[in-house]
Amino acid sequence: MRRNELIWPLALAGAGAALVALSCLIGPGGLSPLAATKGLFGAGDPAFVMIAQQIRLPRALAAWAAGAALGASGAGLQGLLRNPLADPGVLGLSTAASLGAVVAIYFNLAHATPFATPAAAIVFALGATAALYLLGAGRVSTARLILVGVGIASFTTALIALAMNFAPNPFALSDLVSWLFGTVANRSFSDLALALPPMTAGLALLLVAGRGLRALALGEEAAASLGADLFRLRGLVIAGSALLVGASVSLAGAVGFVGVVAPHIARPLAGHDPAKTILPAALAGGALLAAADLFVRLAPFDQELKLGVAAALIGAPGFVWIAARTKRLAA
Amino acid sequence: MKARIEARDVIVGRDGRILNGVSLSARAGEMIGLVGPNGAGKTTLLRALAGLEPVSAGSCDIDGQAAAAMAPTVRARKLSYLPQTRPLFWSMTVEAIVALGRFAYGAPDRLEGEDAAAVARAMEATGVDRLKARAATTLSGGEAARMHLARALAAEAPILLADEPTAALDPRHQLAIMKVLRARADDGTLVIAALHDLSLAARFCTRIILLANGRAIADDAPAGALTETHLASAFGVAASVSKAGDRLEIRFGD
Repeated sequence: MRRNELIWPLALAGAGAALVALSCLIGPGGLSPLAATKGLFGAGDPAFVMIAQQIRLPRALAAWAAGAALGASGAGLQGLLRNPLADPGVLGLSTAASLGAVVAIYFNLAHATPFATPAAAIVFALGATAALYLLGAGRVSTARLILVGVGIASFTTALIALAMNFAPNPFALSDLVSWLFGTVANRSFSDLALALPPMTAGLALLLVAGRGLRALALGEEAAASLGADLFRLRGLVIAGSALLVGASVSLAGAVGFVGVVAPHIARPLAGHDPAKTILPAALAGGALLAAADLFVRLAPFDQELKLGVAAALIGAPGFVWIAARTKRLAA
Repeated sequence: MKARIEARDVIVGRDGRILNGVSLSARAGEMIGLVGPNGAGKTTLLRALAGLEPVSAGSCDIDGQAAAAMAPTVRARKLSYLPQTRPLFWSMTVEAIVALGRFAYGAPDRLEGEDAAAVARAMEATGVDRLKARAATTLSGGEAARMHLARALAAEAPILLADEPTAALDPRHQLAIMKVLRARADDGTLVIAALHDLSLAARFCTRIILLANGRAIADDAPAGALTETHLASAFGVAASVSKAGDRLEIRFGD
């Protein structure tokens, strides 16, 4: 048991690293993997160095980090809501975060400080998560939770379109598409530097909440009697998820289904223990989204597929499959 | 470690609609059966004693401290509570579920020392030790009930509150669970269990509290509490009580 607990996270981390490395080495742009490898280490043609170090590497890392954040927040939300279908995308948290980012950008807040975009995304994600918890999780019913989430997603999507209509800045329809379907094209290390601190903080909050989430496996009443502080637990998970989702969205836009598929992969590797699921879910989410971005870059389409579209092509059928298989575990 | 419970004039719900002035004093080694018709307030009283139900008036103290005001982990070390509904959301192993009983002791991811020993004792007492590696969601009703009881026992708290521990179980499992509870009481634990089966309650409990409409209408040894008059007034149907050896036989209706 102890061995599995280490082997699987290591394997998932290795897969993520391999995919990031692969993303740096192959792709369009007419440079060979060898030239790209050299470029990655700063040798050879300066143009290739630029492509490998400043374009491909931050992009691949952004995809991995965004996926890891979504995987972890999915695991945390699923633990809190006791529902294997909880996902920041499905539940509308990602689009709420997108709305925050759009407001920050189109109303020139981001002009004042680069922190405005992730901060607004996090604040909006926090509001949506709290609303979801208050409205959707009073009684544990999958249908109600998902319906409230669908409502939040539709409403925030509409508000994004509305915000863009009112925005004083000129905008392109493609921006709307990017925020709603996600992309990590043209991400830089400074984008990563803005997103990583809140992601790390969010992950830390979820890991602290892990023990309480394990107690919640028996329901709120038993968890409270076992000594879990439910008020604190909810706060930790809601704040942690909001930090992760907001930072992920400010980096990559709204990408769905990673948050449901990654924990589903991680859970059996962690003995179905909600506390032990969080880290492997982050690693699985990172690998998934790194793979999805590699697919997006290599797919032979005239116009690049959006990252969220690629994620949904795999993730949405996965979601349906998990939903169809989910038994009513609770009494 | 011994503990006592002191409840005074507990009122829950507007105008005492749920509990209307219940008092009780219970000490280590007692096995108290909480009986009464549906809606009498048994679950609410247990929850109030466990500090989980806000009371509008009155007090519920554990060793002189208000139960609701205690820090969750401090309270959990004094009192373990088996709720009536026992949902199970993830298919963790039986051992991992039972180990949750050690939550208040900060039981780490891997069980060690006293935590591991307590979990092993609880699983042995309830006979779920051979199921410990099974996914908890694959258990039968009787197995699951014993696992949840093991979870509550694993805390080895001086007070054990159990809400309908024998509900929906066959006679063999009912007896097995009552024996485990009684053994705990004999070892010095204060056990309070809400029970539906009056004969079972009379047989295993040292004391019976009969609740009806949010009030305790009897609080006595089984033979004193479960009288025909008390039962008829609590349940609203004629009751006949007869002695068969050292056991009470209770029948309702004519």
